[in-house]
Amino acid sequence: MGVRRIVIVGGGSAGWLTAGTIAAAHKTEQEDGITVTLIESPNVPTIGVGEGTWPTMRNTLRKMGVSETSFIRDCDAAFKQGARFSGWATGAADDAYYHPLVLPQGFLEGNLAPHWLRDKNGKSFSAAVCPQDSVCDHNLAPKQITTPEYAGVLNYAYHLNAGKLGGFLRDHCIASLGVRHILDDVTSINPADNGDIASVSTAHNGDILGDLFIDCSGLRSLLLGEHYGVPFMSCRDRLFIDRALAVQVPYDSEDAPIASQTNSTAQSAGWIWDIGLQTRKGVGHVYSSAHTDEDVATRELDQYLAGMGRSVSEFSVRQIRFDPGHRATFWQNNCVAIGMSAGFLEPLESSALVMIELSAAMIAEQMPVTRDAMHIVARRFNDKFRYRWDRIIDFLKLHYVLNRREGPGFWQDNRDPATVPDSLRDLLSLWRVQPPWHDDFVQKDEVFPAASYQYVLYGMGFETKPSHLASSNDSRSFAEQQFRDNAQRTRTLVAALPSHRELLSRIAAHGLQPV
Amino acid sequence: MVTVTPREVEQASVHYPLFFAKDPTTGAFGLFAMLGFQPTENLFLQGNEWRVAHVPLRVRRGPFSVAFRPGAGSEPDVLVQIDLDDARVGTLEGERLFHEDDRPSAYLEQVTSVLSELVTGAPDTRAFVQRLMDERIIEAVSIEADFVDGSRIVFDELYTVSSSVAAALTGSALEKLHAAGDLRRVHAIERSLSNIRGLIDLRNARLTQA
Repeated sequence: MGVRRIVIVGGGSAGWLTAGTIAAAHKTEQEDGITVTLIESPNVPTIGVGEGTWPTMRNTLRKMGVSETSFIRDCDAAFKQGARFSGWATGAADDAYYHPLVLPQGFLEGNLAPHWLRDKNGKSFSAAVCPQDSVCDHNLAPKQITTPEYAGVLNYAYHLNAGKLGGFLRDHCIASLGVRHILDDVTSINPADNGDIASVSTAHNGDILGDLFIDCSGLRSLLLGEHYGVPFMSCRDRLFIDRALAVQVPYDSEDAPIASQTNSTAQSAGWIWDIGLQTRKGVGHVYSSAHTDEDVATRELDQYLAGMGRSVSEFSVRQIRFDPGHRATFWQNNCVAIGMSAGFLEPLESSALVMIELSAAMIAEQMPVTRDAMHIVARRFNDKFRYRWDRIIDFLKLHYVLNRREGPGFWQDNRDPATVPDSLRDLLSLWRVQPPWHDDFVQKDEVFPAASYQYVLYGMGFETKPSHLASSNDSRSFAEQQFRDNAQRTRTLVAALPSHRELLSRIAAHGLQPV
Repeated sequence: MVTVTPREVEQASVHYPLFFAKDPTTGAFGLFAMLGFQPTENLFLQGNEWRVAHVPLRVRRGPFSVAFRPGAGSEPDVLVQIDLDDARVGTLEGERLFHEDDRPSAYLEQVTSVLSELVTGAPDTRAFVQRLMDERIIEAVSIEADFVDGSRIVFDELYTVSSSVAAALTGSALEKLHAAGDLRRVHAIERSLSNIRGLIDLRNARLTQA
């Protein structure tokens, strides 16, 4: 019996990215080909936040046949070139670093970290090895109006309106990808004899039979969590944050610069995200309820908004509670969870949407042909994503464990070795004597490349001891050339790239060409 | 490079390499004839003589242009405008614009007809580009030219037509382009690329004379 009927329970970003990715990969005129059906409730709202993506989203959308111009216009999207972390290391006024999206200069040929460590030349690591710091400091765009869709002069990702993404993709999936849409509530889940899900019942559309069910029901985890009872594994012992207060803030004027990076500003027991879309900003305070309370968190958000000449009292505040962590397994029988139903972590490195993309891509690519093959794919999926969740937790913890902020409480507790995963502790020991490099990580498609660890490590002021490695004359001249090339490239780009706001206006007026 | 209208394409393709290129402000594609390898280089102008039979309309326009002025009705008035500061304009000698009785001269009438073709040229180009884009016929191309003085000039922001996509057109797409007269233009643009060789020769000749 072939695996043909894919039923996705839940809409939003997870449901529709999954529907689009699978439908685009398995498009067919054959009657007996794969069909994709998505059931979403008219009564359950989406989470409404989740506004940063990774560069992978460009390929994900392109493979679905989405026009970048339409996406930017309809989802109020802007270009993201990385993240800027303020106050995370020491909390001093000048404490800020970038985690950019461009690889360090010459990264495929040699490691510049040991050379920078030896002589910083007054520059931060990211500024020495890539142009994106400067480009972001000047609020410039990563490409031009003449750059084709999805191409960039610099590597980029998106900031987008999370509420609009689902609807935009839904329209595209229905119109162009043959996805069948059922707007209805799921009333029961009907098991088969072998424990699989045979069908789900809906209020007005009868029973929907399927071969593979994908749980995109959000925090509720209707299929994987509720129906199958797959346990949730909290990672609150490592990452403390479990609350969010989110607001939407208009710009001061039509000319106000739009930042091309996600700003993350440390607070007393958490941090504030600040994301610039075309028409408004998304600002949110994520914090740990074990270390502070909603009143203090609201006051800090208010102080942050005061810096923009605003007050929290002007806005309606969205309150979100979550347990940081993930399910013990993600694929049970013929059901796999994607999105918040699989797990959720604080949005420190915008990992939620990329995990959806990676999950949908793996399923599309490894689509089991028969039910027998499915349990093998399921096991591989579980192993791979368990590994990925662990690596994301490690990487997020890296931002915290290196802090040298004063005082007891949240930041000090984050340095407690009991809260540091062994895997991260081992890597940090290694990195004390040698800088991160490609082979530190075992999988060929790691979630975060070695470069990302370099950016955060050295942005946070970590000291790797100088060594006898990378001291040959050849190695030094290679490095000097790379630093010079980067400085030149930075100057050229800052002169040539348009302002971020200017480019977005031009795209609104003229669109981007497909080629 | 000088803009050419879709109606000029077949004639222009005989002598000039034709390309699409993006407007730096809007990213929109325009249609161009290459006259040289540098911004001000015109290999087709020798002294006061134009080397080949087809002179692009944009060049024949001379110091004249079109201006629009709000009119009595809903459509604007279209006026022929002359740039009095242009070196080609004088009072003592040359082509008359008007007869003694203020009637326009044959020359001015010729200019007016060039200008009206140019005015329709812009929307014609937009429509032509859109029809080609709908079928994904426009593709990027990179041109590298080596010259006798050892220099190399590279153009990597030009576009041409994809022969393979054009050749694979069928059904309603094929009919639509055929009905609009686009197939002949696509083939003409394709063939025009071979004119680059001739342009290189012209430049080499100038380089050796100098």
